Amino acid sequence: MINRSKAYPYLLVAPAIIFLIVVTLYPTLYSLYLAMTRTRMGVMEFVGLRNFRVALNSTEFWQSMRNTLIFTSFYVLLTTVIGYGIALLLNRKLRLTGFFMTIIFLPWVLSEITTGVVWRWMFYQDYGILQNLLGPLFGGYRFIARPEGAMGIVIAATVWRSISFAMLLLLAGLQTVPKEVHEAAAMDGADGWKAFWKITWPLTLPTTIVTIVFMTIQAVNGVGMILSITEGGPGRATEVLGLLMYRQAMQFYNFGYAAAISVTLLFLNLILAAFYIRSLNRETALAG
Amino acid sequence: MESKKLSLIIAVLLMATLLLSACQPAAVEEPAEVEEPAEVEEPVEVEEPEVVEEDPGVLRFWGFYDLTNDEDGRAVQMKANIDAFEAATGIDVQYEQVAWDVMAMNVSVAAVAGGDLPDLIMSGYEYIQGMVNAGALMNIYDEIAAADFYADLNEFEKNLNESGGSRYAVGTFVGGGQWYYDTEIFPDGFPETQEGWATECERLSAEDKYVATFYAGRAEAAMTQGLAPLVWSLGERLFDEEGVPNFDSDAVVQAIEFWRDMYNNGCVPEVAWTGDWSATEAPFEDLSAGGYRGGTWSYIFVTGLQERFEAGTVAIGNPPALTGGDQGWVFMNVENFAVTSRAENVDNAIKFIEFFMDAENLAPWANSNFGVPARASAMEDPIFESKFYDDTLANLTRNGQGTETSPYYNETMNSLAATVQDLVLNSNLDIRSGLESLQQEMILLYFD
Repeated sequence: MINRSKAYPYLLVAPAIIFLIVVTLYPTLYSLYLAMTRTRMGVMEFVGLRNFRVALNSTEFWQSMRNTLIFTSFYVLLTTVIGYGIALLLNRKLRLTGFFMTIIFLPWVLSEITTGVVWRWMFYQDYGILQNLLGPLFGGYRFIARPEGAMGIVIAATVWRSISFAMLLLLAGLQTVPKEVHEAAAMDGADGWKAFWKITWPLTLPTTIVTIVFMTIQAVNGVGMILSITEGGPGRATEVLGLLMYRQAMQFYNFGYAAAISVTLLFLNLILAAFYIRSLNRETALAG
Repeated sequence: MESKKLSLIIAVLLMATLLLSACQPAAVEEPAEVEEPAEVEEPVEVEEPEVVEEDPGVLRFWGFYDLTNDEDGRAVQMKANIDAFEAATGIDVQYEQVAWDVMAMNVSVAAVAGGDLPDLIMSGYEYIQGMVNAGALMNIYDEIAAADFYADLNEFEKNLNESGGSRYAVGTFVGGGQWYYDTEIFPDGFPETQEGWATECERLSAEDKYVATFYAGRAEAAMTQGLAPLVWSLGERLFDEEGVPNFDSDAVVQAIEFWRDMYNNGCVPEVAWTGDWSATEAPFEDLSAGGYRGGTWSYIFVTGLQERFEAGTVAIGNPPALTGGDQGWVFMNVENFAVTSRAENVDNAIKFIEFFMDAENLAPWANSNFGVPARASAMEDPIFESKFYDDTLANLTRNGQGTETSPYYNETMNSLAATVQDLVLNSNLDIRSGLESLQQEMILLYFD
């Protein structure tokens, strides 16, 4: 009887654990296995760590890694800062808040591929509206044909699309700050920037870190927008690791090599997430 | 104690997952060639063999077109052929639309991951080798060699689809690159040399026009249709006989230099390298570019092209050759049917191919694609009696050259396209060292 009651909780959680194993753990382990194989002429062979060695010796891989870090840094910084700013404004309960929220959310609900293609068209020479407007201001600079310009377009487009998501998370965080704290601080003479730095910022830091984690993971794994705007070009100037993996798997059917890249991405995600979660724990401990 | 039990349960589950992982690839390790005969449909009554013949079974077929789209001539013709096949054989064709640019991916992924595969698929020639590599296609050499239409297949189809007793596809029609030009912009004909392009560029720049537009973006097609013919014009190839890339060559350097000059001097619009297919067509449609390198299929996609050609304001010209070359070339290709490695109804798939390859069925199908039928006798159909087909045949006969082959064609040509895009758009980069680096990378990735 006692044994049965002890097993009972495990039985209750077993379906959830089995589900997680099937949809998360199994694909992860299968990717690890796949990363150590190579398929040639339909025959799969075990090649150990060869795919990782090839990746580490490949200039394409390292350029993609560099692009991923550049893209992620700008994406996370801009979405968080701009999202925070908009969240602060909307938290003030301005008139037409609902209208502004709808406008801000529009890019998020549109398809990645559709918005990506529109961004691409806007920067075509002769035909692109933004190219025709901005080009003359930058001495005829052709944004989509230059490595820095293309990366700039990709960052701008993805930030534009994702700000609303970051903003929503941060707004939720801002709304958990009790009004009384602000009122008490105001009575003590803390207002404006001082109130922000001493009250709002520390109290919303955990939410901000969670937002940063989300945005980082989104950036590191992002493919759709970049694929539809530049396809990773010009050359490999905007080819991030996610896109390199996609190409190897879905265009070239090099599933082993693609899996090796995906495992690298997994570790990159884990390192970044661990870093942020550690920061979150430290901040929470300090706040406590 | 409880945490120990939990750890034990998790450990057992992990072991089970690992076992599952180890078991999964069995489906992938299937060789590309499937020797075993296809499963025969279950007879209704086992004792009476005639019943087997009365149940013709099904054919699961993945094709490119939306058969409900009455405005697409290819879809209409495909549907007509399927309906006629069903009426003639009683076989139920279970058709599913899969877009042409994801067909090979879907089929290969299904083959590698153990997913669902149909009996028959459509595919362009350039994707066949990749699917064979993934173990997705069946060698149907014996079945096709025994078919009535085999002897009537044209040499081009045989050269592309047959190799050493292997055949993984059957071509239905031949198509290829085609240079269209506006006869009012080029009253003396389209320039056929590198120097001719430079001269015309100077003349047309004054009128704010481009010499030509074409797709030269970041994909294999840009290399197959654009760069490779330039390299061929110097008598060189992009791959050696074993299919190993030969990208780091003087011919490739010269071809990229030509494109770079065309880009830097405004002879070709930037969208040729940065745009998608439709973006590269726009300058020819609005007459800001005098020439357009499309293909035999361009009537379908380029607005107004057919009307302009029939009115005589557009003609088909010869392709450009690089300095030092004898003549320009265009690539040639073939549209295929292929039977998958896990087809359950191989006999029905072969019956469908035989029906489709009947000259009477093949001719309207090829015509709906503006291609040249893969059977010589089908070309005798009166629907091919037009200036367009006369000029197309003349172009493909004089200038056509088969697409090169390599076990890693798609992979290496896509990588070349990315490098070429970079080298053309950025004049500060050294072409030779860019190609050297790419060549080493390709050897490391695919041929080491």
